[in-house]
Amino acid sequence: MHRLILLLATVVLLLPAAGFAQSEERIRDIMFDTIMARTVEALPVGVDQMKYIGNQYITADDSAMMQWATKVVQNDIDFYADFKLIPLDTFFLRVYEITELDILGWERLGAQRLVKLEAEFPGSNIRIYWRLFDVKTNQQISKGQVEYHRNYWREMAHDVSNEIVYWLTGDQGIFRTKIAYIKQLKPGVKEIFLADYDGANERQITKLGSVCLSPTFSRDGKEIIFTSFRDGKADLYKVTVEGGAIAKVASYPGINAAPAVSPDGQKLACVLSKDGDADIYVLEITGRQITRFARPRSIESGPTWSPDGQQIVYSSDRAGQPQLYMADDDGLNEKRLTYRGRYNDSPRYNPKGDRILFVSRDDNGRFNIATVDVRGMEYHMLTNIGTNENPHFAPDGKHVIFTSSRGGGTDLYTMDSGGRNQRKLTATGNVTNPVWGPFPRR
Amino acid sequence: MGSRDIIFSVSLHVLVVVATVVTMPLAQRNAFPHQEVIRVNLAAMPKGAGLQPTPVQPAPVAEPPQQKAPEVKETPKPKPKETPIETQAKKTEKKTEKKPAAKPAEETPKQAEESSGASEEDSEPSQSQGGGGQGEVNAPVGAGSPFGGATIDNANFDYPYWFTQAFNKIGVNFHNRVQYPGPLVCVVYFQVIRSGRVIQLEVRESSGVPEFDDCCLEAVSKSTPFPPLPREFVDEIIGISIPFKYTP
Repeated sequence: MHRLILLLATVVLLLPAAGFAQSEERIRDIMFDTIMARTVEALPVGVDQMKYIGNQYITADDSAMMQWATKVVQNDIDFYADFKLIPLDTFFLRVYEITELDILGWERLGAQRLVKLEAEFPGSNIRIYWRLFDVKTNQQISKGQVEYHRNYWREMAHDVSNEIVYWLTGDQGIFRTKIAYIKQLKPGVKEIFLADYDGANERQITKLGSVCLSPTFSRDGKEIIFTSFRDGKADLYKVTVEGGAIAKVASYPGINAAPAVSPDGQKLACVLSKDGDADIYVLEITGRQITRFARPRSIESGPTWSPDGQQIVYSSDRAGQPQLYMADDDGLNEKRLTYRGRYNDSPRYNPKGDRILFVSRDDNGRFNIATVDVRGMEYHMLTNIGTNENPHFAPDGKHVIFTSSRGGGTDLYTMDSGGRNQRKLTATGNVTNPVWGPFPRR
Repeated sequence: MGSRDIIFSVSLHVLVVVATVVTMPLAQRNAFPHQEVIRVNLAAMPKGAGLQPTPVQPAPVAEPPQQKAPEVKETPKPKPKETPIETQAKKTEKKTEKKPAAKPAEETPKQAEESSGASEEDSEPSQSQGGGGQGEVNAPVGAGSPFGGATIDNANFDYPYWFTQAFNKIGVNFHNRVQYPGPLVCVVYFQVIRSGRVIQLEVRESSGVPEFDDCCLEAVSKSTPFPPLPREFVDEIIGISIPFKYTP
């Protein structure tokens, strides 16, 4: 009888718990769904053709420069996650037998904001005046001017675009940021290259004649720290973005790889195998060891710092296959972040510190880019074509660069942080490991 | 303990178990209408309209003469009547009557002076108009739009575009984590300085559910910095009250 009473009491106690568990599951579902609600329609922005306002004849080169500068601004606006470029409809012009659109015409095309550009050429410089309008009310939102030597017309155009982003969103534009990546020049030779965010002005940074991997920018963006097999094993090196002399950062026995600079620029998280299995280590920026995340019998890789420098997220195969884990920067308070998917690797924190990008292998064995919030609850798959790897956030957190084989070879692609506007950046088919540099210091 | 007591105890437990099992599904359905919560949270937002002010278009008849080509008026636009929040639409129509839909840039300061004497109540529609610009492109705002009825405490600030940008940003950062059986409204007040930074942020009218209030505050704080205040705007600061609404 006593057993019966005990059994009944247990059942009575467990029933509410079962109901609670059911509620928890439903709450998770809701949270997963609500992420889809975070998108807002992109703002339609028109960029009018740049006009010459000087009083002297200009050369054909100057005229072409004005056209190209306009094109750069248009591309920037088109690229930006919050905007949608309204292209100038030449058919519209022909139908109405006009040569240019007034603000009313732009409104008819669907633009809600309009950028007007004018230029003149004092001496060897080019001076661009820009004005930003609210199309509906014809209010001038802001205006300004930039002036550089003619050689820097592209930088000037990016500066104008950054101003447009600033006045419309309050955020800092990314159009003067750089990207670094690895390009395979021939079998066994992979070097580091640097380019503007849009792929222009590509420059080769290293000429080591060996395999370079995992580049990462220093906090000020002036140096790149990377792994190279120059001396026959994987060591950490650094080089200035101007491509100066190479300096060794860490050369412990075994593997020295996957460097990640802390937000304060003073520490370096990386993967070392000097004590056996590959583990996460925190070093001083000079290479001296501070901490080891001792995780026996498992392989850890791909550390990434939280923006406040308090946590490090990395992948570990201790559960059988790689999954993401988070720990304090001293290796304590570890918790597992990902449970969905059998293979999750290459984590990257976003600048806001609330989401993490990573590579996730789906049931068909394909690698895709996914995000998860720092609680490990809100998953979001961003890609579904080809093999996609090496994701990295832009410093504004609104854009992502990654590699994909969807077009044949491995090339760089960009997309919004929500997965929209996926665009191909390179077409050489031999590019990997992209990283997005920080905002340039003003 | 006698056998009588044991029988009584067993009977009582059995009764409780039966009652719990029978009433649980019913009680759960009533207490946590999960499906409804999902629908409400998602219905408006993905369309890009749920977190924006009511889209309002000026009534063609009420528009004053414009310098622009007349065909603008012929452009088909959504009518205010289509918006579920009729009071908002009416208020905005009144405001629209006062102001040309397309005014030259030079007139902006003058317009600001004209509206400087307006009461706080009068300034409300101008914000709705800000959302209206975006609402034209997107689907009309549905019932439960959290920002309908926002107010500004500086009547000189007549820049609809700014509200569109700011409210969109808040909308992206508003993540309601609360499930509640009844409707909730939390009014958040914040002040923005010229650079777009927020210098004061507080709950003006609590919803009564602290977690929901926190979500509302978080939506604003995560949205900073807002777009800078327009160069032509002479004051250094604006204060905005936004009602965040939750409907189960």
